[in-house]
Amino acid sequence: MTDHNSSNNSFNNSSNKHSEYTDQQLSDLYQQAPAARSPQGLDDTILARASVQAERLRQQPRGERRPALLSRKWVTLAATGCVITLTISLVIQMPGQGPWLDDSVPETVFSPFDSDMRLERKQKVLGQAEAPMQVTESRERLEEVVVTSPSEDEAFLDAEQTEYDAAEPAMPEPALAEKRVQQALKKEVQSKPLSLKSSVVSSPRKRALADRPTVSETAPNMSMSDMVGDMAVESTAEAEGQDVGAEWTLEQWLEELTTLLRDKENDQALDLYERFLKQYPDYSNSASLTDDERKLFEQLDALKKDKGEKI
Amino acid sequence: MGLLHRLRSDEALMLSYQQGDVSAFTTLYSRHKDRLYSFLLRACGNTAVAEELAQDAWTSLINRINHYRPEAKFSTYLFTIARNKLTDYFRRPAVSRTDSLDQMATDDNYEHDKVMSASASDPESQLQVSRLLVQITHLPEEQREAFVLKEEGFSVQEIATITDVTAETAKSRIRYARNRLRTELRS
Repeated sequence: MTDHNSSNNSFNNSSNKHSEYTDQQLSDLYQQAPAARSPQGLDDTILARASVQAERLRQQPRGERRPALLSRKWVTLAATGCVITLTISLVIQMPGQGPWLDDSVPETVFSPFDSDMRLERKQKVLGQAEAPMQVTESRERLEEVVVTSPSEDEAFLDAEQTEYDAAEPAMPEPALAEKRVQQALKKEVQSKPLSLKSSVVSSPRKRALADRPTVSETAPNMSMSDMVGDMAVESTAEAEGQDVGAEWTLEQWLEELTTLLRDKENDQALDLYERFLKQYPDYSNSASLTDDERKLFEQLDALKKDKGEKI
Repeated sequence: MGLLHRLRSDEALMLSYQQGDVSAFTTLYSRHKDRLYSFLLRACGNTAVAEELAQDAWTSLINRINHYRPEAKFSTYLFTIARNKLTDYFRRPAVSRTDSLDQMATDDNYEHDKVMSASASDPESQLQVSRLLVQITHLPEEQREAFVLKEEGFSVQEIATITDVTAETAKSRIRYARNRLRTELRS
């Protein structure tokens, strides 16, 4: 438009028309040229091709007419699916990595499966890969500690607890672990003098085991690892009980029986009582019994009688 | 249907043709066929070549109908295709071209007879028109296509889009083309 105005101002005289052309005059000249018409043959050719293409487009499924748009949609869908799959797989593979599974959260919130997953993670951190074997090995080492230094019971317990904690995650088969512990203890006890074994039996650990609640009592609030640990401890106690009283004095026998009765451990008391009778067959009938001893034996006899009636 | 198509935009007609509506394309073709052919004819200077290039351009449009997106004006899209065909033609080796532009201009047979026969009332104007058309063929390629596109009604911005240059460059090419034509016509 600016060009046209300037050209119009400079060219008002038609006599100058051929000496200098304005932009407008050039355009006018161009427009005066005969209109270029598309040849009929070209039109027919193009329209025929267009008809063929239109027929092809109609025959195509609707989704294939816009391949670029469709592919974009599919790419978006595929990417979304990949992200979701990746996220789910990460959550499944590493459930304990999230802050919502921190150790501070009460274990009762989670199932034993969750607890096992958490223990696996702990095992990875501690580098304990061969825990079942380490249970046996640690048990043997702990027994050696007791044998060589009976006065170090506290250290023994601490070390044992540490070893158990480390071995917790790798005990998916409690029976197998229990069996191994029993075998190791049997082997260990048989290879040592009786005087040394008695120090194990009469140690504070035995008392602690007797005072601990049973698995069935604590199960509702216990995690799988705790249950497995208790099972192992109880199996250890049973293994130890096989030689209970072998070298006890009479006072120790009576004290142990009294304790068991007081704690209402009737089955254990009866077992121990039978062993006592084998070792001191006539003592319970002797006339030199004190009143306490007589009461004790009366209670034990009554328990024995009740048990026999039940059977 | 034909009346409805005439009221619809080029872009809407293209989308209809994408769905297989051949009448939409017929309307579209009738709107732009002469303008496109005129551009190609003025730019290359030969009817046979213009016909060939127009056919190539329309065929390319038809074949790529699935790739069309109504993001720009249809006329700009169509003339971009045509301009690319024209550029390909000029980049061919001279021996492989069906006709040489220089040779046509030298022979002075381009459109001259048609112009003289079409507007016989003003012989002087006929002569000027004929000279203008011949001088257009002597312009450099970039200036020629910019000038012809401008005279075919495109804005500077549309010319810049079609020729893939900036608006300033397109404007400069048009100005150089006009100056050159003025000089040639004066002489």
